[in-house]
Amino acid sequence: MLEVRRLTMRFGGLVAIDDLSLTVKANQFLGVIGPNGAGKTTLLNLITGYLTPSSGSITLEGAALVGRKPYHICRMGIARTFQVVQPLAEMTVLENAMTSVFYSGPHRVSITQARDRAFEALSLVGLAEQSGMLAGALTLGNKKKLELARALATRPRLLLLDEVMAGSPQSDVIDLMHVLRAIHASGTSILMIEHLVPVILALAEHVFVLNFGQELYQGRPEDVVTHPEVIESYLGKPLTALADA
Amino acid sequence: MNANRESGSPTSLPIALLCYGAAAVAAVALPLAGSPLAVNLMLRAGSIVMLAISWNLAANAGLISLGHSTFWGLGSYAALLMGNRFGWPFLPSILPAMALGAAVAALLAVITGRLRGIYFAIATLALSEGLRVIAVMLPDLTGGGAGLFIDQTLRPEPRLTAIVTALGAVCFALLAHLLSRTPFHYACRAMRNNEHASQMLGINPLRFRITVLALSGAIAAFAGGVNIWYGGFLDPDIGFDLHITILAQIGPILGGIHTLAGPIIGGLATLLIAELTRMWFGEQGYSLLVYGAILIVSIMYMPNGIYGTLRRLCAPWTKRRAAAKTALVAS
Ligand SMILES: Nc1ncnc2c1ncn2[C@@H]1O[C@H](COP(=O)(O)OP(=O)(O)O)[C@@H](O)[C@H]1O
Ligand SMILES: [Mg+2]
Repeated sequence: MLEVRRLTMRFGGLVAIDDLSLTVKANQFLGVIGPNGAGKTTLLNLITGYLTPSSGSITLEGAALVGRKPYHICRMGIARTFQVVQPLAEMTVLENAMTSVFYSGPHRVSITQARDRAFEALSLVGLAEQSGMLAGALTLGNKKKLELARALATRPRLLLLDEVMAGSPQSDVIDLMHVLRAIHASGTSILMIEHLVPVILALAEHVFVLNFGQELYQGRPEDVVTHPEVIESYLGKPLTALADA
Repeated sequence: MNANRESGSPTSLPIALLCYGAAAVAAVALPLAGSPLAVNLMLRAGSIVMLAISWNLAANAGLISLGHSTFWGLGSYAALLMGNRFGWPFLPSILPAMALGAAVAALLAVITGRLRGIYFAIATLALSEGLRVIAVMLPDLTGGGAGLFIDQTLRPEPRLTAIVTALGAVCFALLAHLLSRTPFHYACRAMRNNEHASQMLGINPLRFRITVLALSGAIAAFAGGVNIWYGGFLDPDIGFDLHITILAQIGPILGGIHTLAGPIIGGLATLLIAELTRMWFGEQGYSLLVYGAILIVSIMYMPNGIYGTLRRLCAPWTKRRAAAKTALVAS
């Protein structure tokens, strides 16, 4: 579905993404882990058109994404959340999600339809009760949920998540894991960046480990946690114990 | 529920339509029946409200203009030249005035590209000042610094200009109201809140920037175009007057920025304050000082504007009424 080929991104002298190739298969749940500064967020910025790569290509079902604007990429069926939350602060939670609906699809959507679809997305992530609040007044955990709801309200085929669970209370993490499973089961492909490794291990079918902008390892979740290089560079200790948690 | 009413709720539309209808009747009846003073007041009220609506539309999308006299002035010159050069009468001349205002506003949107906030504001200020200088330097077209009188044989009755101005204000208020119930309004507000993130919701910022500024420019140009037919004389200082720029933003800020009612209430309040201080303190001197002081104090003590303050004061009452309603339904 999504093909990243030999992608490189330089910021001045810093190589944030270094000749990276990565694939998200149709209906795959791909987990991406890696230490801070590995280039995970940069990768999402490149895929969604917020950054233009120094070299390399990105395609969605064969269509080139490099050079397209974020709003175009959104309409092609990709949605994302932002690691640093970006609520439309002076709009209500419901209006935030409604805004997602209007311009992300090929058809005109009425206010009533948008309200229904927005409410659906908010209910799914557990924000229905807060729908009348101003988005700026939400807690950080709820702002993260709003990021997810807004992404979902665009009805994406590919969902890119950037640490959407970080900062959420434990109970919310469990809820969100159920939500993501359901979204995946309904046919959406997911690329999930997450610091909480147990969450990735529980959800992802395939795990990609990023380090210094390069692939360190990729494979099945159970293989990743036991891989010596991954343990050494990222996990610090074997994670089997954590995975059981 | 939400403290800031930026859009009309569905239930309020019939009531709002009634209000607009009543205002339209008044817009026609008052100048027809009234004295020259009433005509003058209606013309100024309509102009100030149109400017406020125009400015607020752009502000909704995060575009703070410090150069609304640009569109006013272009509208004035377009209307005057259509009359003097081509013999166009009053009403038809307003169309090219609006078109010119919209076109220059759209061009401004494209040229300023991604400029936001204070940078955009300064660009608009520079544009109005630049146009003023250009108007001085093109005496063949504009009469230069000495100015131009509009062809007296074409001039309409002052009453007609007042009616058109007041009706225009009602129509543009209705337009803003109807727009507030469309996706367009959501896109504008999203841009104002966070242009970066709203792109990921499928919103192309340039598209809305061009549209909203063109609309804003057309409305201000309408006001400028009608006013030249009433005043009869135009020079660069009148056309691209800083006072117009200031007037355009005082209304929304005093009344309640980003709201529907705010610019209307604020615009009318500005006019009222100006008239009252003039009545009590005479034409010059203290009058302006008191006028300025009232504006400053009002804006300082009502950060959400008159409309925001009224809503807050009425909140307990509305809540009680809503509670009573639910109690009634429950019983
Ligand atoms: N816009 C930018 N300009 C300069 N350097 C950047 C920019 N964005 C990211 N970087 C750098 O690229 C590297 C990767 O950052 P990032 O993708 O945010 O890492 P991660 O999300 O994996 O923690 C970091 O060293 C960061 O400082
Ligand atoms: Mg990151």
